[in-house]
Amino acid sequence: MPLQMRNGNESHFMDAIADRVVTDFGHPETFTDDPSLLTVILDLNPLGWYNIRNRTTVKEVTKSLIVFMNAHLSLNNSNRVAFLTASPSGARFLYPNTMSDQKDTANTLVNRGMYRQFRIVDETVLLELNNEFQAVAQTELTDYKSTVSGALSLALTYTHRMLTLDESISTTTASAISTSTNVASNSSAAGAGSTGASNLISMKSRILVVSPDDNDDIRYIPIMNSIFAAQKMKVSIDVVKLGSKDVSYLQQAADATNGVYLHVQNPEGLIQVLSTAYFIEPSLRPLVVLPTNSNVNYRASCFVTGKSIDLGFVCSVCLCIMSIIPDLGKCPTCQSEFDPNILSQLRRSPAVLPRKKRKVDPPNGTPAA
Amino acid sequence: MSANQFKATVNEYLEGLPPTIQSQLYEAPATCLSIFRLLTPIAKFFIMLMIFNERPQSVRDLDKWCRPQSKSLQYDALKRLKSLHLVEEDAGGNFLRLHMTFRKNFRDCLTGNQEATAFGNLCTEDDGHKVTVAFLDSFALQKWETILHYMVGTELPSKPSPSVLSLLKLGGLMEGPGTDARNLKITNSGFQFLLQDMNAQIWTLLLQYLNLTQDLNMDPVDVLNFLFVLGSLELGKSYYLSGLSDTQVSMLADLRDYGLVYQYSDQSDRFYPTRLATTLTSESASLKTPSMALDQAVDTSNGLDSGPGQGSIILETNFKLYAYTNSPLEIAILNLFVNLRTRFSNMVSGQITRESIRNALYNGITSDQIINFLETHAHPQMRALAKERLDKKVEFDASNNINTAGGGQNSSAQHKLEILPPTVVDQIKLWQLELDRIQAFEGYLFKEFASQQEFDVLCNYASDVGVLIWSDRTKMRFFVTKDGISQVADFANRKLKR
Repeated sequence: MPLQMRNGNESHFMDAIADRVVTDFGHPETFTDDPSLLTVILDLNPLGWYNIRNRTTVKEVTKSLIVFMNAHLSLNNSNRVAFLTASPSGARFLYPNTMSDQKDTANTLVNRGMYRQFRIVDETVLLELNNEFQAVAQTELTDYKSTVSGALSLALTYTHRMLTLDESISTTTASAISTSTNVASNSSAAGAGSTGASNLISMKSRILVVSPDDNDDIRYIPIMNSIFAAQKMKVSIDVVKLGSKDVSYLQQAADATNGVYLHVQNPEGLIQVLSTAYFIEPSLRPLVVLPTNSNVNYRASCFVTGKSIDLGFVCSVCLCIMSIIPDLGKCPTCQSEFDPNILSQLRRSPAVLPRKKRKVDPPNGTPAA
Repeated sequence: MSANQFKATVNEYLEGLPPTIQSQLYEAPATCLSIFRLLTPIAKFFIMLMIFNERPQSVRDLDKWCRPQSKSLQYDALKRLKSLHLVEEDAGGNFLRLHMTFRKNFRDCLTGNQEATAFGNLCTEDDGHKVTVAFLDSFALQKWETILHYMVGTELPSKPSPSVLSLLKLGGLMEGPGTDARNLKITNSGFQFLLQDMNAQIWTLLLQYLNLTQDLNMDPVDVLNFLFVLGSLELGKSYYLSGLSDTQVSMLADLRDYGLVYQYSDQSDRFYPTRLATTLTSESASLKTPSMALDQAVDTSNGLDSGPGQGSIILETNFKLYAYTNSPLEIAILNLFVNLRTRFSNMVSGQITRESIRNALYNGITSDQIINFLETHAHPQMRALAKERLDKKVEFDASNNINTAGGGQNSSAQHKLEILPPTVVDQIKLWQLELDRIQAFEGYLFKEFASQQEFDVLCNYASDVGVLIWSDRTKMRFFVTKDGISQVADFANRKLKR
C-alpha cells in the first residue's frame, strides 16, 4: 500500500514537470510588443472651450497632447500617430496631411534638433492647427452640432487602412495612397497573390478623444455606428472629458470598446494624466487594470429632438426612438406610416375614471373578483 | 521570436555594464530613447508612469496597476529596470524613482528641449556626390549578402574585409587557423546565425564588435552612443562627421564594411546611414523586417517585377517543400533542415522528415528558429490563403456572436494567422520535444516548513512571481529557479520573521 502511494506521487510529480514544459513554450507568444496606431481627436467646439477658459486653453492641451504623441512614438519605431480635429468647419486630418509639403522649410515652431519622427509630426500638427483656427474663425456658428462623430468615422477609416494595407517604412499618406492603388490594380489583375495582402501586420490601434463639450445633444446614430464599428475592429476609444460634467455618449463609447473614460476636472497637470491613465497600449490592456468606472449611463437619445430620454416610443419598422409622437403620423427616419388607430390611442389623453366608493368593511367578504 | 532574442541579448549586455558606464550612457538623449525602446512593454509603461510625476512612485501603487495574472511580468520588468539602474529604490523598498539623468534627458527628448545635434548633425548643404535611398539599399544589401554568402562558401569575386572575418571568428561563427579567408569554416552556431533575422544578425556582430573595442581600449560609452544615434538617423540624409568623437570616426570604417553606413570616400566629411542602421533599434517583428524592406527596395530599383521579393517557400501539409529560389544562400540554409531532392533552374523541392529535422536539432538549431524561418520566407500565396482562412473564421465568429470585441484576452490567441500548415508546425515542435525528455533546471529546493500555512504562503508567492518550477503540497516542498531565490527569500524574511 505505501508503495502504491509512492507511485501515485511519482506520477503526479512527472505531470507537474510535463505541464511546465508546455507552459514555458507558450509563454513568449502571449506577450508581444506589436506596433500600434494612436489617433487623437481634438474637439474644437468653441462654446465648450469658452466655458472652461478659466481652467485651461487649447494651447495648453495641445502642448500636452504633442508630448503625449511623442511618447507614443518613442515606444516603438513602427508606432504611428494621427491627429484629427472636430471643429465647426468639419472634421479634418491635421496629421498625416497630404496638402502640406513644407517639411523642410525654415520652420521654427519646434526645436530643429528634435528627433525626426517627433519633429515631422509636431511641426505639421502645429501648423495645421493654426490654419484650422483661422477656418473656425470664419465659420458661422448657427445651429452647430458636434462633428466628433465625423471625426470618429474618419479615424476608423484611417485605422482600417493602416491595419489592412501594406504600410512600409515611409509614413506619408501619399505613399499609403499609392500602395493602396497598387494593391487594387494588383488584386484585380492577379487575384489573391497581391503583395498587399502578403504583408499582413498585427498592428494594434486605439483612438483618444479630447472633448470639452458638455452638450448631450448630438447626432446619436453616427456615434453609435462608429462605436459598433470600433468594437468590431477591436479599436479602443479612450476619452478625456474636460469641462464640467460627464457626457453619456462618450462614456458609452469608452465603455463599449474597453477604453478609458476619465472626467478631468483639473486640466493643469494633463500630461501626468495622459502619461499614466491614457498610456495603456492595446497590448497591455489584458495585463493592466484600467482606470475607469463602470457606472455608465446607457440612455438613448430621441431622433426628433436630440434629447436623451428614459422612456419613449419606438418605430416598429426601423427601431427609431422618439420622445414625442411625430405630427405627420410617419416615422421620421424610414417614413413608414403608423397605424392611425394606435396613434389615436396613444394620443388620447388618459381618461380619468370616476372614483369608486370604497367600502370599509365588505359584509360578504369575497376577495376574488 | 528572433526579435525577442536579439533584444534579450542586447539587454543582457547593457545590464552587465557597470553602473558608472550606464550613467554615462544616459547622458545622451538618443541612447535614452533607444534603451527605452528595447524594454518590455510593461517596463515602458512603468517608466511613463514615473517620468512626468515629480514625486517618487510607491511600489504599492504600481501593484495596483497590474492584474494578478501579470504579476510575474511585473516582477521581471522591475528586475530589469533595476539592473539597468533606470529605477532606484529608496532604503525601505517602498518607493521608486527614475535615474535622474535618464529622466531629464528622456523628458527633454519628448518635449524637444535637447541639444540640436543630439540626433546627429544633419548636413544642410547639398552633397556633390548625392546618393539615393535605392542606392543605399543596394549598397547595404550587397555588403551584408557578401558576408552571408561567404559564410556558406559561395564563390564570390569579393571577400569580406579582414575586420569582418576576425569578428566572425571571434563570435564563434566561423573557425579555422588564422584569419585568412580561405581557411575558415562555418560552425554550428554559424548556421544558427544564418537562420536569424537580419536585425538579429547585425546585433550579434555588433555585440562582438563591442567586446573587441574593449580590448582595443575604445570607450564603450562612445561606441554604444554612436550605435544608438545611428538607429535614430534619417534614411537618405547625410550627416557631418564634425560632431563625432575620434573613436566614433574610427568606427565608421568598420561600420562601412558591414554596410551600416555609406561614405563616398575615406576623406569625406559626411556619411549616410543605410537602412540596416536606421532600423537598428526598431522591432524586427514589426511592420517590415529590414531584409524585406531592402529586398523590395532593390527589386523596384532594378525595375524587376519579380513580385514576391522575399517569400519563395511553399510548404504543404504532407511535409513537402518547394522553394522558388536559386540563391545558393537560401538553398544552403534550407539544406540544414530539409531533405532536398530535386533542383530545377528556378526552384528546389524537398521533404521535411524526422531525420532532416533531427539533424538540424543536433546542430543546435531550435524548432522555433526553423518555424520562424519558414514563416518569414513563406510564399505570398501561402500568406494570402492563410489570411483568407482567418477572415472566414473571424466572420464566422462574428456572425455566431462569439464575442471577441474590445480586446478580449484570448482574442489574439483565437484569431491567429496560420501561414504554415499547423500539422507540420506541431510535428516539428514534437520532434524537438522528443529530444529533450529530461529538462534540467538550476535552482533551489525549499523544504522543512513549520506549518502547512507557511508552505502555502511561500509557494503561492513563488508561483505568482513566476519562479516556481515544481511543488509538492503533501511533502511540503517546492523548487524555484536560480533567479527567483532572492525574491522568495526576501519575501520569506519579511513574512515569516514578523
